[in-house]
Amino acid sequence: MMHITHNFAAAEAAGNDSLLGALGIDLRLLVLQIIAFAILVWVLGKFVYPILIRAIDKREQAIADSVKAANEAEQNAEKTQVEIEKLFKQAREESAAIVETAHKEAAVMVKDAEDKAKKRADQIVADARAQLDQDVLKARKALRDEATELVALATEKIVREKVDATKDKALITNALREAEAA
Amino acid sequence: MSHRIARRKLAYYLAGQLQAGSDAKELAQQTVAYLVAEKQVGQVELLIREIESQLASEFDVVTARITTARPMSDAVRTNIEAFVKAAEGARSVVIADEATDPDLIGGAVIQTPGSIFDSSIRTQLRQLTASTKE
Repeated sequence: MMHITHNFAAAEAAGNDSLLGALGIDLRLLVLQIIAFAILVWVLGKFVYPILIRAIDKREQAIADSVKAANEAEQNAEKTQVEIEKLFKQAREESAAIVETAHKEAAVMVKDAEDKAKKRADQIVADARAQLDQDVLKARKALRDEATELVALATEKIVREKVDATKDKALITNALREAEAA
Repeated sequence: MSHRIARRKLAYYLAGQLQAGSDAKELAQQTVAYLVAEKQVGQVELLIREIESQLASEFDVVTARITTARPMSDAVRTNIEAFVKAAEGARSVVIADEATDPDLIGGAVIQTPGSIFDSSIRTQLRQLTASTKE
């Protein structure tokens, strides 16, 4: 097609002596080139550009969707990060509370154990003292009873040696007299 | 066929017979024979106590059992009889048993159906020991 156009233009230029010809411009060739260009533009506008524009629009839409998705993902990631931070914070607070509660319970248990041990120790000491006092009293009583028995035996022995028939008679007589008087 | 007599009635009869001056030995033999026949030998002690009680309540006769550390002289016996008669308000006193127990050391223990008078040194020492231990 370009070959035909050049031939036509050369033929036309040979017979044209106008101003355009002095400038080296072939009017018909120019018109033909304008028409060819218009046709080209029309063809491109009709068949090529729409496809390219649709492809570009589609690509642009895809990019926009991707950007939007990326933004949403970023926002979701930020939200998730915030949520994770919140969960971490909550977990730290809960763990701290648990540890504190455990410390308090342990302290209470230790104190209870100490109190019980002290109470038990005091009770043991008190029991031991009471038992000791009781043993001392028992020993004193046993000693006193033993001494009394010894005194009684000694007294009996002495009295047995001292009392003869005469004294026995007087003893009986006096006892009867005292009983009658009473 | 034998007929069992109530112990109280038998004791009353025997006490009356003794008071009337019956032979004590013969009464004792008859009573023992009766108890053997009635298989009541185990009741001898109770019967004696009942006779003593009947003598005291019905005939104003008090029986006394006397234990001393040494054999009693007549004077001591007389004193004891007078004491029992006065203490029990009895018309007469019968000394049913006289025993000697050297463990008494001294004094006398007089038992009547209703009371015991204990003036023995052993008892006084025991009382003193017990009061000291308390």
